[in-house]
This record gives sequence, structure tokens and C-alpha cells, in this order.
Amino acid sequence: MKPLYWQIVPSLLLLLLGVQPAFSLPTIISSTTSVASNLTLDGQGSASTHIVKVANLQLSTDGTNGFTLTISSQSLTKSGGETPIPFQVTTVPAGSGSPSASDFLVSPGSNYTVSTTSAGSSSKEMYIKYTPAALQDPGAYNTSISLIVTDN
Amino acid sequence: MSTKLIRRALIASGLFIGTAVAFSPTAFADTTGSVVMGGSVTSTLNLASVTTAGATALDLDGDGTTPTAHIVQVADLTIGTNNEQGYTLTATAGSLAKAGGTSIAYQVTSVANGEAAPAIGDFSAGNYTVGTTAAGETLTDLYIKYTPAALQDAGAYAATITLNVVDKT
Repeated sequence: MKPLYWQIVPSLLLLLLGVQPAFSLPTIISSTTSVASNLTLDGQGSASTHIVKVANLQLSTDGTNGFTLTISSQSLTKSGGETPIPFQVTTVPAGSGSPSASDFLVSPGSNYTVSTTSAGSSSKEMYIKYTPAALQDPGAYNTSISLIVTDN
Repeated sequence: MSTKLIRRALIASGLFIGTAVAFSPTAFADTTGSVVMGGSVTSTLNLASVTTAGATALDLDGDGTTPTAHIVQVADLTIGTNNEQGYTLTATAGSLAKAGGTSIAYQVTSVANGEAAPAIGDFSAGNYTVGTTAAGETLTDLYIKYTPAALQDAGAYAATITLNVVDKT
């Protein structure tokens, strides 16, 4: 007659092991800045290049090879899609100050990527650079930037 | 021996439970995020009109002269907009009127700044409209055409042209 605990113990262990995740995923938390929803778009006779912080990012992964963050950059558009304002994207480590115009290396419309090489967390600030036309078609412009983080 | 086994199993299960609780995040984290941005541009549509000296000293004949069409520049217009589709200008036609007298009808047209005066055939009845098809500023000369009667009631005649600009959609 087998003691009862031999049956209980293995099932207990199996049940609790099931709670732990089978693999870890990278994570991203982004918080949009208030100025991002109120961008200066000039367009009333003159225009200049604007570099604006649009989000604070918290990224982390348990993956031993680190993560890759991919950010899409399309254009700010009106509802009809005409006269878009293209923009470029870059990130800097949190607290390191605004990037300069030459720090934006990815052309508008292409994806911007930044990677780490080991497990861990990082805080970043996301900036965009854009130059409206001197005479920009009046109206409301907006867009949604997508961010995806994957393990390397 | 059996109680030791159970004790070890319970201790191990306690560790697992503690770890599971620590994994639950305080803020929702995912593998994707989005940043919504926006701004707006206001229309710069503007109109400035300067009346010419000749507009307030129109030759109204009426003293037996054979009726002749007069074509006179009455204003210099500066119109601008950032609207990509341009603007539409409307100028009202009407009559130079005098209380107790027969009015003198006039028609309106325009030419680009500095160009030669329009010909009789360039005028048509009704309110005058003209537009552009792109953003920018334009300078325009506004003209009227009128033909007084051979014998026109003596006195002072006056009229006001109303100008209106709107952005095209």
C-alpha cells in the first residue's frame, strides 16, 4: 500500500511549477508627454525645424541577449491625408538632454531601432524632428507612433 | 521519513508562491506601445484693400455726352492664405446711386497687379468671383465698368463694393 503523501507531493509540485512563466518577454511602458499632443506646426508664413520630446520609455528584458526596440515614423497627417508633415525619430538615455538635429539618422518613413546586448532595464526619452512648410495647409494634424520591443 | 518529505515539499511550495506574487507588475507592461501626437495649423487668410484716388472722382458724364463705357481701377488688393487649395474672392456689383435720381449700374472685374486695364468684354453681369489654386499671396487690381446716360440727373452719386475672401476646400 503506497502511502498517500507519495501521490500528494508530486502533484503539489506540478501545480506550483505551472505558476512560473515558461519563458520571459521583454516589456515596454511608454508615457506620452503633454507637448506631444500640442505640437507647434508653424505654417503661417515661416517655419523652422522643431525637436520635441514625445515620450518617456521604460524597457526591460530577462533575455540574455538583450532587446531591440523598433519605432515607426510615418508623417503627421490631416484627415484627408494631404500635405503630410514627415518626421524623424531618435531616442536618448533618460536625462541626457535633447538630441541635436544631426542625431536623427533614420529617414522619415523608415523604422528606427535601438538595441541592448544583455538582460536588464533601461529608461529612454523619445524625440521627433520635423520641419513644416512655410505655408502649411490649415487644419488638425495627428499620427500614432508604434513601438515594438522584441528579445534579441 | 515521510514527514520530512512533506515538510520539504511544503517549503518548496512556499518559495514558488512567493516568487509568483513578486512577478505581478504594478503598471501594465507589454511588448508594444504607442505614442499619439498632434498639432494644428490656423489659416492665415487675409485681405487688404486700398481705394484708388480715381475711385472717388469718377467721371459720370451725363451732360449730353454720348453714353460711353468707362473702365476705372478702383482698388489695389493684397490677398494671402496658407490654404493649399487657394482662396475665392467675391466682389459685389451694383449701382452708383443718388437719392431721387436714376442710378448708374456698374460691373466688376480684376487683373493681376500692374497688367493692362481690362477690355469691355472682360466684364460680366452679377457679382464677380475669382480664385487661386495654391497657397501664397497675390496682388490684384480691381476695376469697374459703367456707362452713364446721355442726360444724367445732376448731383453726387455713391456706391460701396463689398469684398469677401474664403479658403477653398
